[in-house]
Amino acid sequence: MTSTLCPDEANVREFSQRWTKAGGMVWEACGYDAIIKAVEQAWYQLAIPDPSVSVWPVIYWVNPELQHIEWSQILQQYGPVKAWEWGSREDMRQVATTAVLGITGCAWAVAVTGSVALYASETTGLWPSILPPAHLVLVARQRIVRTVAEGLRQMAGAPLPPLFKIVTGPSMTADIEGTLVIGVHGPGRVGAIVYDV
Amino acid sequence: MAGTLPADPTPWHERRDAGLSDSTMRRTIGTVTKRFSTGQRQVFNGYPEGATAREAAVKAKRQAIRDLDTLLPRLRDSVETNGGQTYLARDATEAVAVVVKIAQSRKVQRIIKTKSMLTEELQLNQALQEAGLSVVETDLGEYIIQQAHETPSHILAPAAHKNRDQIETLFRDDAREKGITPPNSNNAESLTRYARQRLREDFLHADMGITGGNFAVAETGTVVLITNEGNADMVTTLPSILVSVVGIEKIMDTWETLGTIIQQPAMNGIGQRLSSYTTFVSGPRREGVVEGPVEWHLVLVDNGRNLLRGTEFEDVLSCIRCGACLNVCPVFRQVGGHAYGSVYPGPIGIVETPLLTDWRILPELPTVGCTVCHACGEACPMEIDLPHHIIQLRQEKVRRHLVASGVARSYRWWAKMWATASGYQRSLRWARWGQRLYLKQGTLHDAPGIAHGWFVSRNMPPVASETFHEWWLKHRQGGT
Ligand code: SF4
Repeated sequence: MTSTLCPDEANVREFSQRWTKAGGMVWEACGYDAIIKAVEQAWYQLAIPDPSVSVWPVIYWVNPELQHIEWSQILQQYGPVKAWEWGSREDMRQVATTAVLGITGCAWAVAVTGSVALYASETTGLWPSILPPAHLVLVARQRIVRTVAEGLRQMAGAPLPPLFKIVTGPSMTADIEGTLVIGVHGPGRVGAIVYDV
Repeated sequence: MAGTLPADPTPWHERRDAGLSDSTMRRTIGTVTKRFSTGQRQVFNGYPEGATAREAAVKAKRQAIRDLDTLLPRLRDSVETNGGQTYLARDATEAVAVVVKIAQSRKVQRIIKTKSMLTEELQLNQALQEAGLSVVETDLGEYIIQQAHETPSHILAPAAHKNRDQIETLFRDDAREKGITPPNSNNAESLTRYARQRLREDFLHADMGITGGNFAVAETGTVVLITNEGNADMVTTLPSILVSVVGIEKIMDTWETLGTIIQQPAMNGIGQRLSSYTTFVSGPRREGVVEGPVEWHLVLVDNGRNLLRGTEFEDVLSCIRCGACLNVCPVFRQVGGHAYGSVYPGPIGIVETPLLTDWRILPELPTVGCTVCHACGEACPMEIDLPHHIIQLRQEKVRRHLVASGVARSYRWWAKMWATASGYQRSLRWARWGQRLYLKQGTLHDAPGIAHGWFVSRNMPPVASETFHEWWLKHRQGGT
């Protein structure tokens, strides 16, 4: 079966499998409508806002091909959401600290480990992936490479971003008697929407 | 130049007995090591690329150690080109002085830290606290033992010796002191939730972060940090000053070779293909970027590492601190990490402690901490020949006259006797004669000299009144 898949289909399958194994959720979406539907599903699975709070902040940035989507409007359908785009305010750190969900794009993703790579830059931040209790990453299927080494290789030659990271699942620990606990310092709920551009 | 490492001055037999009688520690350490070693075995199943990468990583790491003289200046150049500052500390005193000076000159007050065995080795926290600075460990395990004023008992799971009741007591005391809500039960989730809330405050208010480093890439000037909790992401993105304290042996030559080794700590340490967070720092933040430090300082530490280069122990510098050798070691699993008295326990600790310090501390380790079962040699992903090194260190100990003269004489005599068949037979006749003093109800309960230790926890059957050899000598004329 696998051998008949084109390379990026095989990568998508493996990415989804490994990301799920690492403790994340996955939605596959082809086209605008499917992406919006997946965002809705992801919202109800990942963001668990306090209903007694009057504003539910969300912090987000997406890759260029998804920038035309009206994220604020879409998210407002789910409740009193106030969505802040990365870089739209001075105090992004404060926003990320109070956000109920962080949404990010990614530079590349890795199939065999189920990972996503995020760079810190003016337009792409890391805090949305670490400070809120939940993180949703939007992954273009064409950006999934097979191995970590391939992903790193893509970065060679150009100056590296001073800060970047590879995320593989939720924040977790087994430091207390070897018992696995999800959500230590970073998000306990992570999801990925794999979309087609 | 020899390095300095902290050592527990308690004699070995007391450390050992304390470990053996700590049933809580033995239960928790048993669970943790089993989980890790099973994970390591399983993660390579059906993942041949992982095994191929491991082989390439061994070669690349060995080469990087050989090329250290050129890679070290290269790394410093790359980091400085990226806007960071670098320092080379020959020993613990120099390393600590550099970090304290950075903190004091910038009027730092609150420091947050990621887990780093090297900073344990340097006793950095102690020095920072003596300088009046507040330093908080942010890895959950490290946070627990910091609260308990203890040292790590396992390279990867520093609090593996503590159970949830003990941790709950620590957190309740902390909550009382701070006037905050304590954890609501002793289950791992509530304890973790308490630590999350408590440490979140520290993350957001710290003005300096300190990290270790799993790898440092000379070509690009990058320090790589691997965590599952995400604390390194906080420490590297939130405070305005970042200090990374990294051993010189962590250097990899190129970005390409980093790709071969990057998964190995997680695969061999916890049985995952990659840890939840792999964080890369290559410089301070650029204009227009809000995350990351304004200043990045990289302190490269020798502290005895160069002593191993060019010797038969050079491969020891390839260690990636995965802890796999600890997890499979029958001695470690019984006595736990603290019994070793060194920052580095288990087989790697037995080998590294005397080597890094030129035998100045804990010279007993190679003799007392190993049954020569070879499990560590098989588990080590970096193919460090730990069992062979332990034997070599035992020999070196004799050469350096670090073995009590009575003990050395006894072994020499024993070796001489058993080198010939007649000597062996004579020794048995003497033993048969001498054992009468120690026989009780047909069992040997003690023996003189170095053999006494053997009977502390066990008895032995006596030498037979007629051994097979003796029987054979009598009967072989009859033909077989
Ligand atoms: S010696 Fe080998 S097994 Fe032990 S911690 Fe180092 S790399 Fe891991």
